[in-house]
Amino acid sequence: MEYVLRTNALSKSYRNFQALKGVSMNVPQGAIYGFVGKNGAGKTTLIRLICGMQEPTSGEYTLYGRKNTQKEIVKARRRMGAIVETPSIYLDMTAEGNLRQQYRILGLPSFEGIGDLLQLVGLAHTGKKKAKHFSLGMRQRLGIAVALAGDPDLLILDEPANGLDPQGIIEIRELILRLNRERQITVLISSHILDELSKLATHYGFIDNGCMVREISAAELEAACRKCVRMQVSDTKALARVLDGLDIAYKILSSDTADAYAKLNVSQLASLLEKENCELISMQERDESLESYYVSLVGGDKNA
Amino acid sequence: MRKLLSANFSRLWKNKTFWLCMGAMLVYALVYMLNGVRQATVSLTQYHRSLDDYYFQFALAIGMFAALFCSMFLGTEYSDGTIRNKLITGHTRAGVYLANLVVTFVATLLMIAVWLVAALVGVPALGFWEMGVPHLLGYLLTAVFFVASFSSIFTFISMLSANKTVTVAISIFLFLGLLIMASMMYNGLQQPEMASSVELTMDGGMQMGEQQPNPAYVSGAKRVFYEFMLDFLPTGQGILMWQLQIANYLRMILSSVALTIVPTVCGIVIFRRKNLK
Repeated sequence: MEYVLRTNALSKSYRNFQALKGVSMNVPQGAIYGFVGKNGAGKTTLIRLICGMQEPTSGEYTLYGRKNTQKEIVKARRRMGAIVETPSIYLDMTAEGNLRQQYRILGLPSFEGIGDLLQLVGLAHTGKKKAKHFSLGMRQRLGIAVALAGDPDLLILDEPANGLDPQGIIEIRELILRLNRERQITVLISSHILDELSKLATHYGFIDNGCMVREISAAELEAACRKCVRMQVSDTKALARVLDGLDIAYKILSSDTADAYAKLNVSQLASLLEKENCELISMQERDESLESYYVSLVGGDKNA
Repeated sequence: MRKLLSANFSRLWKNKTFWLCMGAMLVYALVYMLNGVRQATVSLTQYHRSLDDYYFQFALAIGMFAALFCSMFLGTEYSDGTIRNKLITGHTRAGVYLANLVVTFVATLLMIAVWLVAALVGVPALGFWEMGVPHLLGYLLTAVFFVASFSSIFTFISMLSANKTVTVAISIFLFLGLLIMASMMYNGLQQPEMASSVELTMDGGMQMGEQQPNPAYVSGAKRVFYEFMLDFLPTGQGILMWQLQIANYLRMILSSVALTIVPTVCGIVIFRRKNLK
């Protein structure tokens, strides 16, 4: 697998506070990488380091094969666009003015792509309206348009859904999916809105208290979070024999409790258990989610 | 850096603070010069006034304009977060710093240019400069250099403080502090060495008393220090220019060069290590 971004034991300290403690992270090319963690877990700090706004205390990262200690990292950064915390836009300029400014910063020879970018983020109609009069969602989309100027291969979005209304969140989600599918842009997106992230991400990285707790692909997460039926029976050995006979995956949790990973025909199961002299006491369908997976990983309250 | 300069100048031409400063400079020059013309042409005036007496008044005020403009223009980069766009897209910190310095320097020079052109409104009444072309060029060259030092100092503050309001306050207070310091030194140097008191006579008249040493006279090492500081500080140079008392062009220009280079080098070193948000 080819990676656009890899960090190796990346640490960052501010005086007596260690914000990152040896974080190693791998963002595959073409992925939508969901970076999950509580407020203050270190998500924004890591993004700041990658964007060159701060220097790591120790450790290193590689962006498109260039280490942060190499001079060529500057060239590698030209392949990325980012929004860190808030959209970086001039509030006294129009949407088009902001994009023209970014095109100049990038040294692009013409302003040809600006109309398409505004169309892409749904701001083509804003005309002479200045960014300071935009809604939060419009500013966020303008920030994404600015980050997209110069056709980056990697887009880093730090909490892009923060402060947006439900419609705004949907618009941003659809935009990110479109950019990933149509333009093959790799997206690193940090968020603590897990439900929203689960609709987008192909890979996840879970960070807690400055440490990377786990990296996992969406497929692996789905397998880990697969739906199961929790059963309470009088004899789990008998249950195991029945489930083996039905070729159903299961996990014995205690002498009377087990999880079965499949949709069950209740009457068939009850009848088979009866033949084994086993009583089916209760059944409960459990729907594991990204949220419960996250909670099981980092513990604590459910608000990431 | 060419790309950054292009972006900075494009923003400059649309920047409200810049045009407000330019407009204020224009109005200031016109009002000041026309008032000077009125003073110089009233029939009872006993002093000879020339264009020179009014033409370099900008030297006193340009520091305030530079402080205000630099802190507002560069402070926006932090308040709007747009400085991040420059770094994320791969520009070096030194490049970002120098491009900002260049644009503030040019903007402040343009403000002076507005004054110099607008102040020519006094020519029909006051005539052309009486100081002669070499001195005129010397004064203008000195102005260019002390504007560079002002730009360097205020760019230093603006690039290292991430809070726009704090940046504006520090810049303005620093300028006022330097101006007050230079004024006090200038006033000290203007004191005569000997002074005589005025005495009342028995018949109700007045007469000059005997000349005595003036206790306020600044002498010795302190005088040398004051003279050096007036030539060294951009505010001191401004006062001397306004009063047409520039004596040592080379020392002033070298001082300005030092005050341009030192803050810039220190600023780049600190800015490269600064944790940006």
